[in-house]
Amino acid sequence: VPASKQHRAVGPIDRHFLIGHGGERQTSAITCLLLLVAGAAIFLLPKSTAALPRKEMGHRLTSDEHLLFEREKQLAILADTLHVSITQEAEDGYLASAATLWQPNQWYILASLSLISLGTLLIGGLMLELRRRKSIENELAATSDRLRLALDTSQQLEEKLLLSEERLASVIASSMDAVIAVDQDQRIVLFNEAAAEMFGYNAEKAIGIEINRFIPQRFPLQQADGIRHFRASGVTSPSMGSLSALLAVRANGQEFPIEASISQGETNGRKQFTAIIRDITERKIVEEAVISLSGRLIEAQEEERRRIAREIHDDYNQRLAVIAIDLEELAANGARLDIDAGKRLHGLWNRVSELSEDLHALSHRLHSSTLENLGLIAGVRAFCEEFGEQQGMQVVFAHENVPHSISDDVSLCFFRIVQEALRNVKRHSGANRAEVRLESAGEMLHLSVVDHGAGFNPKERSRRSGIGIRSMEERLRLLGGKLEVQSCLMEGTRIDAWLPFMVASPRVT
Amino acid sequence: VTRPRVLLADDHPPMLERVASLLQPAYDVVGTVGDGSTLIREAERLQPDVIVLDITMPILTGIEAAHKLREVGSRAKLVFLTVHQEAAFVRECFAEGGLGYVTKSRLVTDLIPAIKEALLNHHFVSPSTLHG
Repeated sequence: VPASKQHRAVGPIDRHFLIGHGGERQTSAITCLLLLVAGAAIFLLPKSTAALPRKEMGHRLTSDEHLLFEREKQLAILADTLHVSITQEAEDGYLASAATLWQPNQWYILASLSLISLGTLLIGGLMLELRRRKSIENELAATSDRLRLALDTSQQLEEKLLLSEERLASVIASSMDAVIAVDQDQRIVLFNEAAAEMFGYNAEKAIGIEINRFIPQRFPLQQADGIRHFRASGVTSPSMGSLSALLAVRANGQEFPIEASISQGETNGRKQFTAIIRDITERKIVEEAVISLSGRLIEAQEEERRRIAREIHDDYNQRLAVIAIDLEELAANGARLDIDAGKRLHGLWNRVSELSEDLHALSHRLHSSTLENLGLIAGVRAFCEEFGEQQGMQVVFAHENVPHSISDDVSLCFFRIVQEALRNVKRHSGANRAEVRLESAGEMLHLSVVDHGAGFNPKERSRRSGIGIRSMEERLRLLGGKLEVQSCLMEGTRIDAWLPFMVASPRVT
Repeated sequence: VTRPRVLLADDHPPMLERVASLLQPAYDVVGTVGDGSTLIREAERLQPDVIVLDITMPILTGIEAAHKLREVGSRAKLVFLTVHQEAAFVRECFAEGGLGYVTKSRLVTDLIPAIKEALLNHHFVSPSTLHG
């Protein structure tokens, strides 16, 4: 529970307590007043009642005639007076006894009354104090409960924090990736076990040394730029994002390829960079193996096609040609045969010739005999003509400054790209015209295949054409070339391929 | 009447055999070779009037050999005899100085007319070639 909330919780109770306290004070003041009034009344009342009878005491008699009467009256009056005085005497006696009780004791009585009042006041005060204490005690108990709760919560939080710190520490410690943190002076503040293993450097000794120790000094600028850029922007730059060129150096001086992601944070107001580094030596080896494997696959496939094509052409086709020649000769010398046999021989010759032509076409499809025998220009031109004729398209071929002898690999690569590109034009573009151009551009041989058909959105490449483009890329990559595909919906597609042309070594004569 | 002297070049002996037997009645077959390189040497040595040559041959193809022959100043008329039927081959052969282009399946019918035309400096192409 946050502290502010606790404060808020205390507020109303406090106010309630104060209101109760004020009420008690009022009640005790009234009680005191009443007691004082009662005391004053007791003190004043006996005096006033004792003063009244004394004023009616003096009576006088005037004539003799009236003497008897007067005596009678006097007697009556005396009797009355006597009666009155007796009554008065009795009353006075009572009052006198009361007065005699009051007179000597009035200070005691006043003192006792004061003491009683004081006592009452004290009792009232004590009772109020008791109530206040009880209320404070209750309040204290509630606060202590709240404190205990808060303490429990904070303990739980602390435990959680501790747990999460432990977890983080164990993740960093057991991470397969190296985790290295540096402060803003590029000094290492964290170096996990994986880092120690990767760099061959003791984890404890690594703390405090500069990170430059693990960056090859051959490329100090490149990587320092990346780090500077990162420091300025807080974003890993694209070159660090792709990371293919990043290298690190082990304690023994061995360089190795890495992949790293860097994050930036602040500890105690100081910037800290944390890098998670992966040694991609193995992956690079695998990638190279994959490239070399796919290269070998393409080579093996081409080699196999070439071998079968040659065998068909050089062996089966030649043997068939000889049979055709023999049949032709027999048919030509038909004078010695009957007409029916002559016709049948002629038919056989035609069929064998057809078979020979089909076999030749098969061999050509497997591996272009034109390309094989006549080179790249003739091969590509022949393919453009054949393709245009077969597909009902106009395929324009042009070439400029292309050397006569180009290595077989380069020739075959470009030939296959032309084949694939023209098939794509036919399959996807809807165009009835395509332009194929071969030219030398410096050290490179440049091939372009352009159509003005439907085009496509390069981001939404269809899977089939995607595979076609992938295979072109693969072939080019094997020979150190590159491919560029530009396409725009409703405008067409342009494929550019470049290869360093290695002029074939002249054949032995 | 001196018979025209013919040199044959093909890497398939059965083919050489048939061509020789076809030509012998009318021509003087002065030699047979099995590869392009030997062809250059023998052509220089034998100075034939006509060379009947295959395209697909070891070491040097017929077309490369034709190029070399022109370079060394051979005056022999060239008649290609091949299984290739593509126009590209015909074009290339003629570009290298060839006069005749005969497909092997039409050997008996076309070779002698092709040689006759070549001797007259005329071109001849077997009708079976594609785009011929």
